[in-house]
Amino acid sequence: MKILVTGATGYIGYQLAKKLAENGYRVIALVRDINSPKIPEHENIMPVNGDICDYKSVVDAIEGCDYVFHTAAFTNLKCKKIDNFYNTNVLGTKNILEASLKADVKKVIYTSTLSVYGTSYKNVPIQESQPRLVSYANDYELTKTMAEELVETYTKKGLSTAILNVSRVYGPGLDTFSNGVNRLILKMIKSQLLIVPSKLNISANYVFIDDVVNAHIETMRSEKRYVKLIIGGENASYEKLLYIIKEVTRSKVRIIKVDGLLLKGLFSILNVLTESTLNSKAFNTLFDNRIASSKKAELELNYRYTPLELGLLQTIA
Amino acid sequence: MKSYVLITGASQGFGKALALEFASRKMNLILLALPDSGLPQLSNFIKLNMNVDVRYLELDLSLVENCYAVKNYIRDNNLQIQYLVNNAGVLSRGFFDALEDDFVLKQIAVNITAPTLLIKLLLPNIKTIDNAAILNISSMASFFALPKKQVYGATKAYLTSFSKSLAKELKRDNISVTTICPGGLNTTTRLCYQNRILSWIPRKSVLNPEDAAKVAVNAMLKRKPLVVPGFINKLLLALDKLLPEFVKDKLSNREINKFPETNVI
Repeated sequence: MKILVTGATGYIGYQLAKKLAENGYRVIALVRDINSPKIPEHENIMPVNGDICDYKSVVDAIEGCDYVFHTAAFTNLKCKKIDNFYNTNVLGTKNILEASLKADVKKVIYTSTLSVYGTSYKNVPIQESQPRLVSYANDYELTKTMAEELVETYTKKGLSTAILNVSRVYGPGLDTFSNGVNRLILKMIKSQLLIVPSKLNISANYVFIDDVVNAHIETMRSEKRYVKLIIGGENASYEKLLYIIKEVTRSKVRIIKVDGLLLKGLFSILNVLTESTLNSKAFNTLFDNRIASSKKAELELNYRYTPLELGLLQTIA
Repeated sequence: MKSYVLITGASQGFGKALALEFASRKMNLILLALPDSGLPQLSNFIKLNMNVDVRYLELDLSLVENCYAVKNYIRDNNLQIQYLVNNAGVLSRGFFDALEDDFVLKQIAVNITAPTLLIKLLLPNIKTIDNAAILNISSMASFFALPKKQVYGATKAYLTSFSKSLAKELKRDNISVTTICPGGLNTTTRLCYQNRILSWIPRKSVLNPEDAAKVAVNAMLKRKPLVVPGFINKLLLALDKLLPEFVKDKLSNREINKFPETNVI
């Protein structure tokens, strides 16, 4: 069986391509740079040069493929122009869907994000049925939602599809922009001092990379013609997350709490002076509650997630 | 007896924001929207988590008989309407000569006929409660001449004008009529994207629906006749009276030509 994976040089795509290859599937990895050191190496993985934004290269790569995993996305929230997000996340996804429909692909599994649901309402975990309650916080959320709308359009045209709304992913793997927890772990191991916002009761959902990969593969195997599922893990406040990381890494880091507004001010000054990792927009999304429930995936995919502490232990191992 | 806010076009965009705003103020809702637009999910979510009663009707308001169906539903269930919010609207879609006949007629039916008839049919019910109000969602387009928004702008000019006169008539029944004229709103993904690629001033004039909804509900409760939300929108409205026609043409054309073709997304 032949499977196309886009975004194989990204965090989820890399691990997914590898796992598929280990399970004996033949994987075509569509990559922009055939010499990239981030391409997973395995005898079952064949890198193919191309770009999801170039329709012709997508058509060529998809030829003969049974399934398509579309994990490629533009995720860099530092970017201020919407064009990069729009071209990759919307037009790129359209190319994948169009080519898949024409090539009679059995199913396209689209890797989306929990953030298309926005924030959670009070202490109610986000479920698939929750309507979005606030406007799109950034271009990433907006363009990922537009891509999901395209997936639904193509489902109506007869393509079999799945949308997986993945929460914050952590675990061993490539160091990419979309992996904040891993960066936090490194910081706690390396530094003596960690400055954090005082609003540590803000909670979000954290999912272990292996669970995400398994959910993708189970979705491919599922008979359902269309599913949309939240793939998450444990809900935890920053307080709890920092505590567990500190425990498992045996870090001696001193944690200093600073008022959130003050910290935001500091960040914007840093942004002007240096090339810092976050802009204020990305920063704001870290101050919203984003707790979620994967009950539907548990029922429909028999999905199970790794407890946070266990996952973090495996991350630092 | 419980009283309700009836909101048309409540499943998405500004209507959804209004529904959430009213619910957060502990008002019971009757929500109307097209079938398959996510209305049951929204209604259930609000009912389950926001502690208000929510009823919903999925129907197409471009059909006159559905306006009567709304009236019958309210009569049969013995419901009391305190606030009527006419929000449902069909947005513009391109140059006049390229539009389908049916599309134009539907736009007029939803934007003009439906709110007019709903007010007419529900007025006897609304009159029986104190401090009742009608909130009509119009648009800044009712003040401006804009290519690609010909019929839309005209339907909104009707709604603004109709509301102003009606407000005078209904004063004697102690029913207020408020018209809100928003500029650009970040509602559908497509509009959000269009709003993001505008140049600086128009981009800064765009509001998030949840912010505009607060302004609208506050204005309605304060029984204001007309409100334009957002500082830059108020400024643009004032400028419109001052700027010569050719400058306005140039500005509006520049922005309109940025929009992607409808069939791309």
